[in-house]
Amino acid sequence: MIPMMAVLRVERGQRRRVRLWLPLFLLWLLALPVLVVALPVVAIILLAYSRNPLRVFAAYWSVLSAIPGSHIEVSGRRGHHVTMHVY
Amino acid sequence: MSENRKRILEMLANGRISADEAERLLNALENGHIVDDTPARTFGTSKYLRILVEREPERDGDEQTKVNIRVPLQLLRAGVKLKGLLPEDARDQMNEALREKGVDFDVNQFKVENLDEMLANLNDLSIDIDKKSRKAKVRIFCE
Repeated sequence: MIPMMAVLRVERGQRRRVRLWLPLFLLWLLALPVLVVALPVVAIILLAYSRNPLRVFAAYWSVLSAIPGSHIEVSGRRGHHVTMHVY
Repeated sequence: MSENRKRILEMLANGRISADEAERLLNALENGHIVDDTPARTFGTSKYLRILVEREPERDGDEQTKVNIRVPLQLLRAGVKLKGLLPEDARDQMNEALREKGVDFDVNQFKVENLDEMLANLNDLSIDIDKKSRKAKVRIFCE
């Protein structure tokens, strides 16, 4: 499953808290028409460089579909706290 | 000691909960009211690589700097596979850059099986760093 949602949480002390839900699935929907046009062109370019386009696309797809579950959390001085989670 | 038990004791030590609250939580844990989510530290069932960094505060009153990163193991494997698509020149440049930093590592020889083997032997790696009187602790493990 490709990343569908990312949550970014920023905390500065007890008072300032921001939580952003980033709907990545909208990004994929917007990118889909561009990808449909771009993929054949990219495939031709890859073939010109003697690269197997299927192998390249499969590798990038496996990276993309492995991203969900990633989690980054950083707590710093003065109560600063940033969290990013990809669903 | 399970991860939950450790967490409760840490909260008690930090003064975030009282002794009564800690006792109640420990009892609840023993009676099964709190599910023990202690990660299985065996590579076979692991899904994520966890990197925890804890650094002592620079001044008194500052909070401890903490970094907590969870990377899906699948992403690491996919990354290693992606390496095969890099042009040979780029891989040579990577090797050269690593050698300049004192790391004798050949990117060309690194395969998914090597990564699995490395992670299987990782268990719970803990590194203590002492730099300019500021101590930091790095823990790397699979969960």
